Formats: sequence, C-alpha cells, structure tokens
Amino acid sequence: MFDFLEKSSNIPIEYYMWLSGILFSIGVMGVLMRRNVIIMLMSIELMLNAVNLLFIAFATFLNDPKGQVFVFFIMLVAAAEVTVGLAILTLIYRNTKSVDIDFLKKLKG
Amino acid sequence: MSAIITLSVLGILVLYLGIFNFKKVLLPVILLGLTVAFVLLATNTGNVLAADMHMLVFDAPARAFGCLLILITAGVFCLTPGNMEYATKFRQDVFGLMIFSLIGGIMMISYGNLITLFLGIETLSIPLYVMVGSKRSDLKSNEAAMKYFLLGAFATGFLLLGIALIYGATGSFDFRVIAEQCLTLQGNVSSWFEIGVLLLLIGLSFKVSAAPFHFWAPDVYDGAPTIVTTYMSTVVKIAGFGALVRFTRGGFPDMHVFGQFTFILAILTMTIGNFVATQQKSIKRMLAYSSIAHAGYMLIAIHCSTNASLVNIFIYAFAYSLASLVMFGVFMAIADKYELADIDSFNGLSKKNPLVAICAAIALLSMAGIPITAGFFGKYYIFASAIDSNYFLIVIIAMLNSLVSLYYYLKLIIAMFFKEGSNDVSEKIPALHYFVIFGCTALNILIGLYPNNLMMLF
Amino acid sequence: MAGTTALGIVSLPLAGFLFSGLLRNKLPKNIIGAVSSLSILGSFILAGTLLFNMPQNESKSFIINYFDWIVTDNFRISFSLQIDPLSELMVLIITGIGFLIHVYSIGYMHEDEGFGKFFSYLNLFVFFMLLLVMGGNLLVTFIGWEGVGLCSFLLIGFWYKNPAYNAAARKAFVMNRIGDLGLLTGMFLILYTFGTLNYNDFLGKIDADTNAILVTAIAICLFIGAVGKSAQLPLYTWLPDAMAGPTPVSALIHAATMVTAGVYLCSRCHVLFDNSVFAQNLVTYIGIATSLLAGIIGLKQSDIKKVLAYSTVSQLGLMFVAVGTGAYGVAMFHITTHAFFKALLFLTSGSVIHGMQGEQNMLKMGGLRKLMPVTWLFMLIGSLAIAGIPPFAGFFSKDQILAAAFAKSPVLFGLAFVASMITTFYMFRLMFLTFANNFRGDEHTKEHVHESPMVMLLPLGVLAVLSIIGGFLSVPEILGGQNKFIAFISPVVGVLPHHEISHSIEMMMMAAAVGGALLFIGLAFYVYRVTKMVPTDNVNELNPISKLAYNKFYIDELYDAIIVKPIKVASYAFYEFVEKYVIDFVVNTVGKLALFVGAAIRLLQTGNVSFYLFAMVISIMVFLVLQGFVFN
Repeated sequence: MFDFLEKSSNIPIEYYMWLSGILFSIGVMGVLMRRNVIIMLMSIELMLNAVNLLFIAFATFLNDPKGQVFVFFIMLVAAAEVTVGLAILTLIYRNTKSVDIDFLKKLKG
Repeated sequence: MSAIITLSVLGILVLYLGIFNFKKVLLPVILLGLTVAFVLLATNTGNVLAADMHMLVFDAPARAFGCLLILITAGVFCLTPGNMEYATKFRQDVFGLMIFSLIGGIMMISYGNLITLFLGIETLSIPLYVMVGSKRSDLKSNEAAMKYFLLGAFATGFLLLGIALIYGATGSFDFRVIAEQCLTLQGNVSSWFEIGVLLLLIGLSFKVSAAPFHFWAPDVYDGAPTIVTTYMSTVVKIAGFGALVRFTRGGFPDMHVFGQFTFILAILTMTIGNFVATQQKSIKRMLAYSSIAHAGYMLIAIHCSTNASLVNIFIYAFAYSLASLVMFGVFMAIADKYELADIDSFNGLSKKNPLVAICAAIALLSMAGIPITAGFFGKYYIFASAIDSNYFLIVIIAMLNSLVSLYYYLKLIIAMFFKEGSNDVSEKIPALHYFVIFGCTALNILIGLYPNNLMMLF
Repeated sequence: MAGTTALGIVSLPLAGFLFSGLLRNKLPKNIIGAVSSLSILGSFILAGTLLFNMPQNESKSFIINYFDWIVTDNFRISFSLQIDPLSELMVLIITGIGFLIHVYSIGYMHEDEGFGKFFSYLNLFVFFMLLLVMGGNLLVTFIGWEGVGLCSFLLIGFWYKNPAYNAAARKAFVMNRIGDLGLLTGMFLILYTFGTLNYNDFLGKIDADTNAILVTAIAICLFIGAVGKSAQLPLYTWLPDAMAGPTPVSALIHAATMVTAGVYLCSRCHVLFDNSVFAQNLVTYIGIATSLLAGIIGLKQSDIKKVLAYSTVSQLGLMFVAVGTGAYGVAMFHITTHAFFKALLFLTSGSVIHGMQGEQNMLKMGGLRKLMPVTWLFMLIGSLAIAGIPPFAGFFSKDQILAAAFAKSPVLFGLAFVASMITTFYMFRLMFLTFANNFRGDEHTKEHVHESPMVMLLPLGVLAVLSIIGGFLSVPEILGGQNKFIAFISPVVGVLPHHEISHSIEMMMMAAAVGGALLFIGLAFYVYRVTKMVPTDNVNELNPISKLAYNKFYIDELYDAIIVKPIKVASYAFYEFVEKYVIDFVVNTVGKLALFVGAAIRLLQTGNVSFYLFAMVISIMVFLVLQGFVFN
C-alpha cells in the first residue's frame, strides 16, 4: 500500500496535468459536438471531473489536504447543477417532446 | 457573517411560509429579514468566521457592496406584487430562491478564499437557473433557463480549471497567500498560473456578461420572467463586478499582465452592447444590451486598476441599478403585464402618468450619463481616473459609445413624451411599485447632487 | 444677525416671485399686486434697519459667506453677500423705487391680462438686481447680472404678440450678451491672475506694482460689460428699443436700476481703474461721446418715451464721465438723483400715455396741462430736476460731475456742459409739446383723456418730493454743505480726487450751468410755446443735420449693414452648403454606419446554443493564445 503511494508520487505532476487536460478537452468537445442535452450534461460532468483529478493531483503533489476538500465541494455543486439541469430539461421535454438543443431558437437577435 | 446566517434562516422560513400558505405575510417577512440583514452587515466590523482562515472578509468595500446588494434586492421584492401572478403556486419558491441567490452574491463580494468565491458564484447561479425557468408553461422561459444553465455550467468548468491551476502554482486557495506569491515572484510566475488567472477572469467575465462571453445575456434576459430579469441585471451584475474588482484589486494589484485582456473585453463589451441595442424593438432586449454596455463601462475601471477602482465601480453599479430598477419597474407596470414588449408600448406615457414618465426619463438620462443624475458621476469618476492613469484610447471609445447609447435611450424618451399612445388601458400601479420608482429616482438625483458622500463608505 | 437680514432682503422678492408666479391665475389681481409690492417694501424696511447698523470696521463692510459653492484645489468660491455703504445705497434705491413702481404698476397694468405674470417678472428682477449689488464676489454679481438681463428680456417682450417688441427684446438680449462676454473674460482674467473672485481679495492685491497691462485689460473687460448693460457707445442702441416694454419697466429697469449696474460695477472695482490711466480715459471719452450723441438724437425724437430713453443714455454717459475722472462718489450720487427724477419722468410719461389711451407720439398731444394738471406738475418737477435748476435734485449731482470734468480738462467740461444744455432743451421741448398750447389729437381721444388714478399718482408724489429734496443729501462744501452722501460711501469707492479749483471758478461754473439751463428753457419756451411750432414728422422737410438726428445717425442701419447682414448671409451660406451637404452627410453617414454595425453584430446573436458555446470556446482559445504568445 505504502509502496504504491511511493511509486505513484514518482510520476511527474505534468503527466496528471496532461491527463486532466485531455479529459477536459474531451468534455469540451462533447459539449460542442453533441446536440443531445443529456450527453452535453455528461460532458460537462467530464470537464468537472477532469478538474477534480487535477485538484487531487496537485493536493498530493503539494502534500496539502485543501485541494482534496475542494473536490468535495465541486462534487456537491456538480450534483446540484445536474439536478437543476435535468429538471429544466424535463420541463423542455414536456413542452417540445425533444431533448435536442437545436430546437431552442426562439430567442435571438 | 451574521447577515449571511440571517438570510439563510430567512430563506428557509420563506419556503416554509410558502408551504403553509401564509401568502399575506410573505413580503413583510422578507423585507423585515432583509432589513435585519442589512443592519447586521452594515454594523459588522469584525470577521466572525475565519479571522485566521480568511474565508469571508467583511471589510469596508465588502460591507458597502453587500448593503447595496441587499438594498437592491429589497427593491426587486417591492416590485413583485402584481408581477408574480403567473407563478402564483410557486411564488414562495422563487422568493426563497432569490434570497438564497442573494447569499451567493454576498459571498462573492466578501470572499477571501477561492473556495468561497467558487461557492458564492454557484450559490448565486444555481437558484438563478431555476428562477429563469420559473414560468414553466412558457417555452421562452424554458429555453432561457436551458441556455443559461448550459452556458453557465460550461463556464463553471473553465472557472474551476482556472482555480485548479492557480492552486497548483501557489499551493493555496487563500487570497493573501496568492497575492504574496504573486508579489515575490514578480513576473517569474509559472505559465500555468497565468493561464489559471486568465481562466478565472473569463469565468467571472461570463457572469457579468462581458463580450465575447455575453451571448447568453440577451436571450436569457428576454426569456426570463421580467422580475427575474430585473434581479439579474442588477444584483447579479453588482455581485459579479464586486467579485471581479475584489479579485483584481485584492489579489493582483499589478494587473498589467492581464491589461490587454481587460482592454479587449471592455471595448468589445461597450461596443457590442451599445450598437446592438440601437437595433432592438423589444424593451427588454434593449435593456439587456444596455446592461451589457454598462458592464463595458465598468470594465474600464477594472482595466485601469487603481485604488479608486473599487469606489468607482461601486458608484457606477449603484447608479446603474437604481436606474434599472426604475426602468424595469415602469416596464412591468405598464407593458409587461399586458404582454406588450415593444417600445411602442411606452407611447404617450407622459399624458397618462406624467410622474412615472418623468421618473423613467430621469432613469434613462442617468443611464446615458447626463448630469445631475447619479449615472453621470458614475461615468465621470470612471473616465476621470482612467484619464489620470493615461488610458486615453479607451476613454475616447467609451465617449463615442455613450453618444451611440443616447440614440436608443432618447428613442424611449421620445416615445414617452412625444408620441400618442394607442392603448387606453388605465394602469393601476401598486403602491409599492410607486414607492420603488419614486424612491430610486429620488436616490438617483440625491447621489447626482452629492456624489462625494458615497465615497465615505470606503 | 446682519447675515439673516441680508438673506431676508434678497429672498423676500424671490418669495414674492414664487407667490405671484405660481398663483397668478388663482388669486385676484389686487392681492397679487399687493403681495408683490409688500415683498419689496419688506426688503426696503430690512435694508432700512441695516442702515442704522452699518458695520463699524475700517472698510465699513462685512461679508457673509452662506455656503461653499465651487471648491477646487486652486480656489474656493462661496455664495456670499456683502453689506457696505455702496451695496446698501443700491439696495435702498432698488427696493425703494422698486416699491413705488410696483404700486404704480397696480394702477397702470390693471387692465392687462398678464397682470400676475408682470408682477412675478418684476419681483424676479428685483431679486436678481439685489444679488447683483449685494454679491460678495464677482460670480454672485454675475448671476444677478445675467438674471436682470433675462428679466429685462422678458419684460421688454412682455407684450409678446407684437413681433416688433419681440425683436426689441432680442436686440437687448444680444447686445447685452456682447457686454457679458467682456465681463466673463474679465472674470476669467481675474481668477487667473489673483486666484479669487472675492471683491475684497482681488481688489486688495492691486497696487502700482501689479502688471499694468493686465490691470488695464481686466478694467477694459469689465468696462465692456458695463457698456453693454449701461447702454454706452457702441452698444447703446438696445435701450431706446427697449421702450417697447410697459412704462413701469422702462422706469424701473431701463432708467433707475439695471442700466446703472455698469456704473455700479466700475465703482465697485474702482481700484482697477485707479491703476490704469488708459482705462480711465477710455471710460471718460466713451461716456462723453455717448452723452452728446444720445442728446443730439433726443432733440429730434417725437415719441415721448424715446426722448426719455435717449435722455437716460445721455445721463448714463455723464455718470461714466464721473467714473472716468475718478469721482466715483459723484457717479453714485448722480445714480441716486437720476433714479429719483428719471423714474418720476418715466412714470409721469406713463401717466400721460395711460391718459392718452396708449398714444406715445408727442405730435398728437398738446394742451394736456389743463386735462392732467397733477401729472403736469410732477413732470415739470422732474424736468427741472434733470435740467439742473436749483434746488432740485439734479442740480447738485450734475454740478459735481461738471466740476470733476473741469478738473480733468476744460474741454471735457465744455462738452459735458453742452450735453447738459442739450438735455435741458429737449426735456422742455417735451414739456411744451405735451402740455402746452392746444390738443392736436382727434376729438375722440380728447374726450377720454383723464387724470390717472390715485394709486398711480401717490408714488409719483413721493418721487416728486424726492426729486425736489434728493439733492440735499449731498450739498457740496462750496454751498456750505458737508457732502454727507459722498462721505457715506467714500469708504468703499474712495474719496474724491482733490482738485485745485478755486471757489470763484466753481461758483462761476455753477452759475453758468444754471444760467445756461434757464436760457435753454427760455429758448424752448419761445420755440414751442410762443411760436407754437410743431416739429414735422415728414422726413423730407428736415434739413440734413436734423434728418441725421431724426434717424438716430443711422447707427442701427450701420450695425445692420456691417454686422447683422453679413452674419445672415454667412449663416444662410453655411446652412445651404456646409450644413446640408457636408455636415448632414457626415452625420447621417456616421449614424447609418452605427446602425449598420449594430445590425451586423446582431446577426451573431443567432439564438443557437451550440454557436454560443462554440464562440465561447473560440474566444477562450484566442485569449489563451494571445496571452501566451503575443502579450508577453
């Protein structure tokens, strides 16, 4: 167990940053490319989790618990956000029978 | 801190009052609670929570901004009678949410730590998503809520990435530590720290609807129930700028690294806001673009970051919020109720209700920055301190923008005073409405006459 | 205490203005008239109490700062009033004569539909005039200065339905603006040089060592202001036209008070003139030239009010002669006596016009002595006073002006003497044409000629008494008096320059003046009473010189040709070409461009969330790239 921690801390911090960067970008691309709101929500979750990973990595790297605490806050907020998002989506689905984001074009100009 | 606790209790109380259907006492209780919170905040001198932890810091600017937030929220609540009927069943929900959102706003202007900043932003935003969509049967309201939510959550992602990078570079969320590191490193900051700050600034710019992150604003302002729009264009904007100026002044006294960013932002915001506003026929959309333009003027103060920036933004936000309250109040009273949205719905107001028309005209002139109104001094102080710091170009652009803005403000004034009204609906405006309209106008003129008194708050 | 009193003096007319202005359509005329008059009377009484409590310090003045008005790093201007013998004197004249004229107006304006409006304007005028004379710094004075100009404009054009009257009002306003520009320039120069506008502060800093050119420039600037307000060459032409206003206005504003503001200003700032010989000479020459020119024009006028107007211009010229010779006290003394008798003359002429159903042409009058005996008597008193017949008021003040002129140069004395003789002649020409011989108007008018009501005659009586005894305020030493009046204000305007004129010469001058005046009265008697000559209205029958005077030396036409016409042509050209084709084009294009840009940016607001998200990501990337590669 301790041995594992020892080894993992040998991985340079840059690797973690690259990983979470890639994850974040995948999330961004998902939000941009997909039209289904549910998938977009999931992509946003992916972005947040990429950030979570980054926090954890930094916290370990800096040997500082505050980063990990922050992750809990993010998880909490993400949960709240998704709840609200899904509720809004339900409303829209009731009115339009669709979860396609491109249907929402009434407001413009 | 006691103010935040009071407000939280108030929010829960309001929800319960709603459940048990005490509709009559709802508004009095809210106003009472806000008053208590206001007094507590205004008299708060010690940092109860976290003198050491530095989580929330109620220093003089925080108290001033916080009191302003509470004051304006109270104004918004006073505008609710007669404008919340569409959501009779859920009225108490929206009321409660608005109070919770206000708590987020107060956290945003008093944070001493990036954690509280983030939590403040989210506490402000999440109730807002719901409030925007509270007109449930209206597809426009749904659409606005969805747009706001998607873009908001998306922006939160970038904001968090920014915080993570700052944390990684400095090893702390504490603002004092970050600022210290920033000073000691003096330009030798790691590049991911810079990226982090930039992303955080972008996240905040999104909240204050600065171009090119403004796209959500017109649609959301338009689709949301007007009372929520009022709240968003005043309280949310003040909180956003409070956070922004706290960030730039408190954490990074030497903002020149990001000078170009704020410069581009300010110019784009002013220009886009004002120019597109000239094209609008709907009052709500016009006010939305005008609120974007006002964000642009306030960004000038962020850009030329000086010691006066805090107070300049405070005065500007104060003036702008007062004028906005009046305009939205008048709009709701005479047009929105009857499902009218066009500028034509203001036609002939001076004949039907001259006092209200005069108040609206004063509010518009204040927004345009014509003297003896508060808006004039708001602009004057920002421009003057920009010129003092040798930022001439941006002031010239801002002046030209002000000229353009006159075009659409005058369009409304002309409609009110020189055009014949067609609809002969005899408006019955609730007394609280009048109270807000006249009170804000009086305060506006008062600040215009004695602008120096506001400086003492800092 | 004095501060409150001073504030009371100023604010009572303001209260009167608000009262009669707001309630003019709600209350009966008599109440409006009474309240307006009483508010002025109140000010007068307050000013009277101040007279017995005059400050006892060396300069006999105190200044009350009410509040800071404009505060900057470099200077501070407060709203302050000043009480000293000079302002006290002016306040007494303004409120005293103002009250009498208010009372008179109750009768004169009784049938007018704008009765309430008239009184509110009149009260407003008194308010501004009091500010003008009581201002403790130039800025307060300037506010009063502009305010009286405004009221003068409003009252000249009071009967606004007549386009000619409106033109007269406009002319007065524009001419005054030219003068105001001079005054403003002077104020800026003072502020720039001395850093303050307080009279006592900047006047105290001037002495022989101050930059002479600067002092001269300031003095001339202030004098330009005075020229506009006090109708001197070359800006005098508005005053005769200003007779378009109701006669009480002519009496109050255009004879007794406002037009003397220029003299007041020069006396108030006399230190400037004392230190600039050039400015002094300029004032003197302008004054004497105006006096003569206006007198000559007055000889040939047939409109009773126009004669009086030119006479006012001429008398103001004499006051400036006194100012130019350094005899400020004498100038102020002449202001006082002139206020008495000129107000009397105007009001009696108003009484005549009132009796004649609005007829102002003297050629259609005649023989009114029997029909309006009281008016005749009062006007005779006024004429004797202006002619300088002892013991009437004008004698004492005019004599002192002549003495001051003689001390400067005998030529100046000669010219002033001629001017004063001309005055005598045309005043008695007016008297005989109006009152002597037989009535020349039509029968219908004659039947209606009547003596004016008591409410008009009473103020006339008071003014008549003042015109008789007013001169005794300051009997010159040579006649055994003590010159009390001049001693009273000398702490402010300085003592009279000492001149080496022997008593015998002075006595001779006095005798010459009186003798000359009597001679010209006799001449007028012979021409207009004995030979019963009536001047003709037909221009072609006049000899060239008379024609020139009759047509006011074509000064109006001259101004029209060299100033008004070119400006009109230029403005027309600018409108037709520059405005229409250049400016309009530029403005419209810019406006259209702005709207076009707005419309173009608006297209970005597609309403499509995907696009918004995309724009956001692109923007973020652009900023990141800029931050990483360009800005650093």
